[in-house]
Amino acid sequence: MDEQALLQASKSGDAGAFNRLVEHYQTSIYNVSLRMVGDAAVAEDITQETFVSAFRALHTFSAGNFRAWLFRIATNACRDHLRSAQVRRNTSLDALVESSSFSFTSEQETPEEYAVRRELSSFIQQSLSTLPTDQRMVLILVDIQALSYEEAARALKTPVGTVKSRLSRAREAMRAALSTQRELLPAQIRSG
Amino acid sequence: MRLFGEGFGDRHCSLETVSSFLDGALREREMQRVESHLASCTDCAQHIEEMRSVVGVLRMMPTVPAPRSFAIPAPARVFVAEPARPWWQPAPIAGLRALTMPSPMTSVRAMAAAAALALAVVFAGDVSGIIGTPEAPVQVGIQDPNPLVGPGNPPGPEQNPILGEPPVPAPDAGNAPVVDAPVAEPTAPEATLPVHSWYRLELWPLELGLLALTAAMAAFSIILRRRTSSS
Ligand SMILES: [Zn+2]
Repeated sequence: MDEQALLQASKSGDAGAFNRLVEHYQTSIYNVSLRMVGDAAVAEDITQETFVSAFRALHTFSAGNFRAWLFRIATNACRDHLRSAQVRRNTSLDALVESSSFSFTSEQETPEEYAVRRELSSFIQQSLSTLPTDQRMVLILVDIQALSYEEAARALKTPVGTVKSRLSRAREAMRAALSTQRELLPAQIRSG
Repeated sequence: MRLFGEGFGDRHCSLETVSSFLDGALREREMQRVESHLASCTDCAQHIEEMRSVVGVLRMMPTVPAPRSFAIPAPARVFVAEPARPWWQPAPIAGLRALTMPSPMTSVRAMAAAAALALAVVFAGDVSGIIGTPEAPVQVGIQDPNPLVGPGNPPGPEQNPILGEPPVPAPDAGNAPVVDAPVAEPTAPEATLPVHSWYRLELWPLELGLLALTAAMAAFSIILRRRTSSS
């Protein structure tokens, strides 16, 4: 995929070219949104909104990291949603856990192991939702989406130093939460 | 287990140091300092291992497949090449909105057409003499009261018009001389010459104005069209 060429074509109004970029990034954007808001339906709306806004605002994107630019639009949309949702969301975890499964697969997984895996996934999502929004965003971008500090800084429009400190606090909060549920941790991590 | 955090003092690893250490994001010297500290401090070593497992779990969080395609529909604002259409022809009305709110393009074209039509009407009327300021018919034969040179005033002895000396003796009722051109009856048809001719446009200021308006509207319409199709 020649991202630059597709961006150029998209800027001149070629929706087909833009949709190839959408295809390439939609899973990342959807997952970031899903982890941020913890609600599959809302994440779907935010993802669509992100791409529509991006297409409209494409002329303002001059050069640089397109992925980070998309993430910025998405995280802003998430922030707006979380701000508007007064009540802390009781996330539709069942739906979320149903559609997600941990990727540390053992060849022969017992039903018990599967159950534990689902429980861990659910627990992490729940713990994420207790983090302050800014910390959660950094954690999702760096640890779940594997963005570099610099990319995350660009996406969140914040200095790299801020990214580092928010990330360390978010990780610490997750560590504290998971330390009470060590039995959920997969053996390879628990022992390691 | 001791608490770990930024307030530990210089010898223990701060939260941020631990986090950056796990990402390999510390400078060489800082990296070495942490490593040598971990060799002697089990608290920091344990903290780092717990953090490492947290990061490991987060990295293994599954990627949820997108539930559907998020491709955007071909948006209406992306312009479709307008079919070739002469500038004066208004855009086809495409719905109620076009009816209630004519586009600037349509209005400008309509104005141009109206101005052109008005120009045509005025010009035609002007040329044919239908329209125009009524003027006293010019009569042939009626003499200027004081003509310098008149039919009955052949160049001859110096005349001084200022003196008001009649050039010829006033015609008497009885012996009307035939010197003068015959006085035409005012009703005689041949006596009235047409006032208008094709090169003599009475309404030229109005016609010029309408021509300018037509040209301006046409130019505006063309500019507007270019703008619309290039934006
Ligand atoms: Zn220490």
